[in-house]
Amino acid sequence: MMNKTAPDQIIRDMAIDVKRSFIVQAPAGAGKTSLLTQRILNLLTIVDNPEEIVAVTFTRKAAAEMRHRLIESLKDANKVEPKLAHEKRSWELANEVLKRDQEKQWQLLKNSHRLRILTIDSMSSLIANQMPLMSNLGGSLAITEFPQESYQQAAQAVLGYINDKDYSDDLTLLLSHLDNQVERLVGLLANMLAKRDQWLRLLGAGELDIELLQSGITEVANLRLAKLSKFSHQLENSCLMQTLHFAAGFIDAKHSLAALKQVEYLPEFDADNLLQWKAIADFCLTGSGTFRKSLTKKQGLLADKDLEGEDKTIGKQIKAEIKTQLAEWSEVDGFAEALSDINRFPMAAYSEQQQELLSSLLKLLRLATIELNVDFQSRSEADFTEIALAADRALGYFDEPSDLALKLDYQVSHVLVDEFQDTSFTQYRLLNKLIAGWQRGDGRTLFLVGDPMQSIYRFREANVGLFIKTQQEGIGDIDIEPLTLTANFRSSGKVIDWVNQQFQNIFPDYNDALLGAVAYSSAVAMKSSDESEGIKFIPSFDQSERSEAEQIAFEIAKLKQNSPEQSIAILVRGRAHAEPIAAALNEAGISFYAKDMQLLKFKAVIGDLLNMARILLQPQDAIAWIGLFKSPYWGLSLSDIGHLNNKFNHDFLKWISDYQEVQELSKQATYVFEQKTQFMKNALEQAGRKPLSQLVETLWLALGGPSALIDPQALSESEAFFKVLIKLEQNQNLDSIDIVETALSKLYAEQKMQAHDVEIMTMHKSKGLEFDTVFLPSLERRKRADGHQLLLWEEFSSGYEQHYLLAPIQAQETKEPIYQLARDIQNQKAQFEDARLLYVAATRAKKRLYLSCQLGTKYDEKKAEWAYNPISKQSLLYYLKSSYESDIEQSFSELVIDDDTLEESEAISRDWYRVKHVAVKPKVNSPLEANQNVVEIEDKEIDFDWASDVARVVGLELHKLLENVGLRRQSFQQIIDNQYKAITCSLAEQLPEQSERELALNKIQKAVNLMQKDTKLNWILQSHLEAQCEWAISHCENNEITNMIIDRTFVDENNVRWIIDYKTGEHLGSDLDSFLESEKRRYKEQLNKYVNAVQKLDTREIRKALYYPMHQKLVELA
Amino acid sequence: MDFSQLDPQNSLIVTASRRQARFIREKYQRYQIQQGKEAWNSLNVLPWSAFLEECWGFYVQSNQDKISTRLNKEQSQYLWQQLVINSKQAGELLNSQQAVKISYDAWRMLNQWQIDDFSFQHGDADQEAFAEWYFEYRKLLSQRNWIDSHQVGTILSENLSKIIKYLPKDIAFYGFQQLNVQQEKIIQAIKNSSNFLDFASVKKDVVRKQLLAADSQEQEFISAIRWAVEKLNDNNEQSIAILVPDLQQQRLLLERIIQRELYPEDFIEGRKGQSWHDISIAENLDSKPMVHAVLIWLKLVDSSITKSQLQSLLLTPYLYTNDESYWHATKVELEVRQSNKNFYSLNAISDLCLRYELTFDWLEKMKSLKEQSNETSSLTQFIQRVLSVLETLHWTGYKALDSYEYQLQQQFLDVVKAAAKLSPVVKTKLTWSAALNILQKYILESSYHQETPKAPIKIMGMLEAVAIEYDSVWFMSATDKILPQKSSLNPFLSKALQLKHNLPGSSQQREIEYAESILDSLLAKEELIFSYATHDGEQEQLPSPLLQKLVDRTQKHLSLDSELPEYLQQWPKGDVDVYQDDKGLPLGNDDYVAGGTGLLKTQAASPFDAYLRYRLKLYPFETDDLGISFMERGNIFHKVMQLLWQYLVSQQALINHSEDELETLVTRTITTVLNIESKHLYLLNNQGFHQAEVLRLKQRVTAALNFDKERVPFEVIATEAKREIEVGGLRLRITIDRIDRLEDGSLIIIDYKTGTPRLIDLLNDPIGEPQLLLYAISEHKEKNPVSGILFYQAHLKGDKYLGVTEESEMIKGVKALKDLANNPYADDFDSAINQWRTLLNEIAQSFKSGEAIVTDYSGNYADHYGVSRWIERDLNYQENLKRSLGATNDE
Repeated sequence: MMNKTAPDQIIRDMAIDVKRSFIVQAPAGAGKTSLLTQRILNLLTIVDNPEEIVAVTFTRKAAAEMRHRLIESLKDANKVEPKLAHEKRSWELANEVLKRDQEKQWQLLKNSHRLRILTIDSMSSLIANQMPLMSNLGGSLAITEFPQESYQQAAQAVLGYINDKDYSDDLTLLLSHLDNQVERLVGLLANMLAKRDQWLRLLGAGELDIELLQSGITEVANLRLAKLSKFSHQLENSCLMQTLHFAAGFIDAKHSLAALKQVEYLPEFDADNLLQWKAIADFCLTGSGTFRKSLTKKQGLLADKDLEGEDKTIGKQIKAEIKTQLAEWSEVDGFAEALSDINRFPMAAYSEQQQELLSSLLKLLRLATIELNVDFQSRSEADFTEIALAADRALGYFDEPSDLALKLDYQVSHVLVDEFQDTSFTQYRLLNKLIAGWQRGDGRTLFLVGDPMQSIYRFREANVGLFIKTQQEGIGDIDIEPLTLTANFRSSGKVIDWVNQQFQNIFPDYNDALLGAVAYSSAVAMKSSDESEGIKFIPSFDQSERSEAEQIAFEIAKLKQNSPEQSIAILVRGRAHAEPIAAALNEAGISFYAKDMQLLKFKAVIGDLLNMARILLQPQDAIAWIGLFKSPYWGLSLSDIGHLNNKFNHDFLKWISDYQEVQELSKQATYVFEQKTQFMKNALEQAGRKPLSQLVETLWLALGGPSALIDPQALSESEAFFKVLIKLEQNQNLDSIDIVETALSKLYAEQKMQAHDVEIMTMHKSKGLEFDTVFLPSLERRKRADGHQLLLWEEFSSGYEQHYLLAPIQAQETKEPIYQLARDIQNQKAQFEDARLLYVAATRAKKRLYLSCQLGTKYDEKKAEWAYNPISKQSLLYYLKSSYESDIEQSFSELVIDDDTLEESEAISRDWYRVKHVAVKPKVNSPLEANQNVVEIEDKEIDFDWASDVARVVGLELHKLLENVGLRRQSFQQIIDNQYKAITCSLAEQLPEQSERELALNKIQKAVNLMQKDTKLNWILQSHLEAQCEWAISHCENNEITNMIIDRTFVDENNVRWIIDYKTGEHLGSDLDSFLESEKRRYKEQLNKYVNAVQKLDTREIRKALYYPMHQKLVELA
Repeated sequence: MDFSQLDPQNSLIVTASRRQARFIREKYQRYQIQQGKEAWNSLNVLPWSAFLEECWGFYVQSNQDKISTRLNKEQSQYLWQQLVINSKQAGELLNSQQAVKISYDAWRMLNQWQIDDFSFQHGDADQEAFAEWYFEYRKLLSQRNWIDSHQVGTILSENLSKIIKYLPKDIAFYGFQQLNVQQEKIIQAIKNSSNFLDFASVKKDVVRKQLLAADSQEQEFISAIRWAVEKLNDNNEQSIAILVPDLQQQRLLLERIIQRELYPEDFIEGRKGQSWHDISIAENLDSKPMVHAVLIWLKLVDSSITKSQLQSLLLTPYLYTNDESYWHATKVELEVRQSNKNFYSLNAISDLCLRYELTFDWLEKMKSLKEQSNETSSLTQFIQRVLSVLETLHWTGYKALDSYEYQLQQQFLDVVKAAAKLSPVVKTKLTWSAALNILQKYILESSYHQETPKAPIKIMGMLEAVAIEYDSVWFMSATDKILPQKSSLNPFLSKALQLKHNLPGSSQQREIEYAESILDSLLAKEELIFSYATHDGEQEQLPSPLLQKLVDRTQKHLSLDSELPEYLQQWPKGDVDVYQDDKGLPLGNDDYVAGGTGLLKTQAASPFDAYLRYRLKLYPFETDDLGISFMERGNIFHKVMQLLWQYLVSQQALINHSEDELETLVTRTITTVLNIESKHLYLLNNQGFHQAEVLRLKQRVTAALNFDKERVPFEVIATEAKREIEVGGLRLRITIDRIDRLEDGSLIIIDYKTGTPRLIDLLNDPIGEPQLLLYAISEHKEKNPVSGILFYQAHLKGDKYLGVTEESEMIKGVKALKDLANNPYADDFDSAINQWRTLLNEIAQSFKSGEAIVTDYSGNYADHYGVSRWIERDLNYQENLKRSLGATNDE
């Protein structure tokens, strides 16, 4: 950025005034981010907590960038003061922030979470999560990446109500409206759910207010008439009225212009006179919406020969006058359009049938949202819309900002919204609720910034009308001042001049919130230009010697030669447009980076991997099996496949196990089966047990994996496939290929960008970026028309009133006026947005802009000449037509069409390929040899038995009890006196069933009674030398450490150490002695281990014994 | 850590975690061995929870009069959950489990921080609801003389003076980061007593520390693993820790990298290599396929299951006794997959299997279990029954389990058994589904942790390494998002309260301190590496600012030669041969092929796809339509027209019917047909839908009849006429929708279409719609020559005839062959039919010969792309192929 003062510097200075609220229109290249950063820095110098400032960005990427920019500014504050004025300002502000940080102990540089820079979605989450019950969310929900699945489920669930008396009539009504096509209804319902935040609000909870809706239509008519009224001057000062009166005389009551008979004066410009206005418009305009060049008896102006007397004279004169008049008017900008808008306007009223339909539709839509919630509940996840709705619900609780502040962790005092032109109604409402109760001058501020000229996200419900409305009317109770920046720091003078000149004409000269019409705001270039810079238009035709793509490649090659380091981007409107260009660049050897251009699912390797996945998920998938056998990994011939099929049909397990039985099998096939069958069997053996991602990858590698890849990109494509599987499996078990296919259907092949690559991307994607040179190819291409929707709606305000338009879908193959009106509005919006898309794309250029098109040509039999196809209104080229039509014509006139080369059809390849028999697999060595030190985990025995815990718990309790008595913490008598309270309590915690607890207590009581009287035990527990209970020792033998706990040990009067292990089991049989004998054998080894260990600690003689409290037996082991 | 001063028999070391307890025990053991000892007194090291357990024992002894029963964690949670879920406030929450979790966490904090007099914001619905739950829960506990697991610490902290005499003489604490009030009080009380032992922590003298930046998280993973391999190659006795803060989310990705980098041989062979690393992670038990399937199966006792659940049962390998049985099950699954029936009861499944004459062990076992399970039972009885049926089912099937599965099975059974512990807090009599529900929730809260042999590379979450010493440590994803974490208030407690008590998540300051204490407690003897990815997708990331004082300011950028392991880089790509394969097996003379005219149509367009479809019988899996599919609509229309013309026979009869009569006739016919169809078209049983369908059909049928009224007189001589015809040596069975005879004896052949056919498809090469030509060949006789072949289009877009006739305008809008601008055939029918015969003969012969070439039209058969490799058939592909052939030949 140069050190030259911007012409709008005063505005920029004003915009960072933290006491005032602004809505700033910042056109492309105006340095909006710097402005936002400075304002945030400035705000940080006055707030008590950084969290009071909330900055909302459009994407997470933008949020991260903004946050980092702020942190960098703060870090740079410690460096030397910069020289450039603009940087200096930021540096000063950052220094002040650091002072504030110090003073308030914020520690911003240690904790950047304190900078609240969020997307609108994360702000919704923040609010909703903070109010789990108020938002009805219950707490944070995972956001689903594939909400379409839930929408579809919910829509299908609605169909389940067909026998429900409350919904049956509604469903059948709607179904018959849609030609009884159930799948279509389900699909349309599902599509509606994605946008439910929009229409749910309009539906409200109660009954339909048809009057309100009807008045919505009227209001649209009024708005259109108001637009027409700008031409009232022309209409009044013309011969029109006279002509109409004359014509009316020759029109009968059934004539389509019969309404003209009622026109005495120029009607008022309001909807009451719509019929008359429509007749006037029809009178003046042709079917295609241009002023008539001649008027005939169809308009009531009979041919001279059919008129008589005075009529003849007057008629002749009137016709001449009106002809001149209409010719004059056709030169007036926007006049024909405004009249045409009226002409197209349907005389629409909600018929009874339509009302019924609408009411059924709304009922079903509400039901669908309920079903959607059920689906979300079952998955514990939701879509972004649900989170937004939840935040909206939660905020509905608060009237006062102070209440909200109590609920959120910090009070929100300053809100900044970036890309405000792309705000949707839902987001706008959220913002409104967030600032509810803010008052003028209470120190809180709002800062909205964006560029309505760059609003291009209508398909995501972005509503540029909101920007316009806010500019005009403000928002809430806040004084918000509109500012407009004009300086452009990005592009050269030549580019800016072109942009100014073109878009001044392309954009309307008025703002219209309903239609999203935005007037152009001029830019002032801050950069000068040199010779090599500027704009170039390259027209070509399908018959041109060099195709458009080749021309582009040619131009790029030149540019690369002259200034290889400069950035070049090719911006396309649709992804398909990039294909021929990519091919041409390949051909020319120009390396490029096309992000998100080629869908992964259209890649060969993905097809092969999908086949493998399909077989592992459903081994009956015959197409997948044959696909695998025909893939390069198996490479079977069709006749081999035929033989196998004759023998085994679709029993593919037999194909791979018993292939030897097929004698006709070729050597090639037998060899492949021998080589590969086992891998397939291994994979099938593990199917449904291991993660699919692992199984497929292993199988793929085993079958030869990369050996079959002939496309250099394919290895990275296979990588992407495995990563998709992994990502999916992280959240769910993959049991259906549909999930994988859905995920893949939206995924693009990844590519690594190299330095100086030409970038190819969509115009939408290019927003916010800049390049030295920009190519805009395929400008002649039309865009696809929007699909039908169950319900179309418009929400708009005029004056202080809010209006709605709701149009239920028209029956198939019919045209219904209200629906047509809504479509008409949407089409107009789309047209305006197209112009903005062109603006966005063109303003990415810093130095050079190349515009190009490739028009189709055809031979006109009648005129016996070649012609090029007309430029479609739905193309971007349409907007540049007036400037470049002559170039196109010139270029076409120079075109030589060679009939011989026509109709060259594209050939396909019929070759098959397969991995060679001798294909080399690389040597694979693990980097580390097998680890010798591993001690395998021993598997425990699988035990389905329900074993009562009683014996174990009794054992534990008795051990504890003996320890306590041994350590003199308590005596048997005390236990009895305390009525076993502690033990009862402990049993209650350990044994779930009452009966078990009783049984255990009985056993313990019995043992205590016995032990109390047992003299042997008395001896064991009495005071001895080195006596210990629960003695924990460790023993290391042969490098293996054993830890053990000895129940009781002591040294007796003979200086002999005793090691005693308690055995709390009870022998209920008769032969106690032989039981004890067997016990001795059983525990001998265990006690020997104890002895071994203790001998390392004590050299005394050691005696070992088992003590049986239930039998009062001390059994010594030899 | 100086063990020499310790008297193990009179000391106790309390650690913050189990892992730390194990670490100290092992360190002590090493110390003893270094001292040359073979046996020694073990050191008593207890993690906090075990220490409390021990203290509780002493407390009970000292305070036998006032003892309540402690609930374990699961019991407490269950009670709280019941209370919240059944409260009016939690009625329709989207995620009530989460509300339970967060509110229980609030309860936990109030207890652990010993906040009794908590205040809440009036008017705040969340806090008010919580306060209600809080008091209700307390009331419930006190009524039943229960103590929640989180209350224990408070009781002990208040009664420590009574307990302390039982505790060892020297007590030390290790590894505690941020103490709660319960811990603080207990530790403080011990500090104040003579029992406290000041146990020095491990010395920190790391040799090397550095901060590395990578482009992506994946690069961090790969670098860390390669770094660990390098270290182990130097000395394989080292202990290496790799800390991954978001391990849970990254587990599969990380496992893949580990397998590829550490055990490539095993990876390619499909073995799980596991000797150099272990991943310490708890997985959800219920999400494991083995467990998932069995839980669905148990549901069948008294509920229906969903379509996808049934699919899981039919596709899981864990329920089958042999390969064959499993293979059969997968066949049944196909039918389920194609049907749009959404729920299946046990009976419905039985019927389904009966149709295939199949029976499955799990189905039979379930039937007998169902017979026994009508009444209610206690939870324990339920669990006993579950265990016993699992045993008789021989769950987990016939396949040999690997160690992972084996442990999983064991742990699952343990968890099922442990669920019985909930008995005291649940109802005594439960229905099967109520009990199963409890069990399922219990399993949901339980996790699976595979036990693996001790390995030198330990991969774990960031908290698990706290205060444990390793030779080298690599801390990944050390971004400013992770260190410190973002604070987050508990929404059920007031902000003021959380701030006042400095509760977890209450302030950013607390998060900074916490993060710093974690960083401070990382112990590495040789090397401590922090890394972060500069980008997460498109988002930029920054390193944690807290690392500044730990590492040099200069960070290095990690640059990998390749993200791929070496063997993948070196693997020769495109090592292929090219072959031609345009022909399959010829069809034997006696072989019959079903397919009729569709076969000819496909063969004409793409012989390869005809081979797949009609010789190999490949069909895609398609799910039934929800309503009436387009094909069924067509069938219904055909049937109605057939019945009508069978009745009417002649155009005259049609004309003779008055409008009313005709309407009655049409309505009656449609109703008859729909009634028959409703047996398999579920929606037709709905009266409204039925009626709508009648109306819809009436419009189409009436329009058709009106057309026929205007035609030159005719008589319908056949409807749905079945013929067998031979073309090119191929015998085809065909059904002609309708044959009309005109007064001159010539025939008009009519084919009904409920879609929108195109005339051009009769004229194009390859022929798009050969059936009319075939019908003409079949019916054309000298006496009754065919003078017209027509589609009748019955469609909302327009009801009309289209086709060709001998003379123009014999039928409104239909032209004669000779008048068609682009007629490729002879002008008269007789000659044209001869041409058609030749044309169709050729197509049939090509099919018979096994001709299976891919053509430009193969692209129309998208279901077969995976076989025809259509996406590779453009010229770009050819170039690549040539390139790679060239490249490999050069080698």
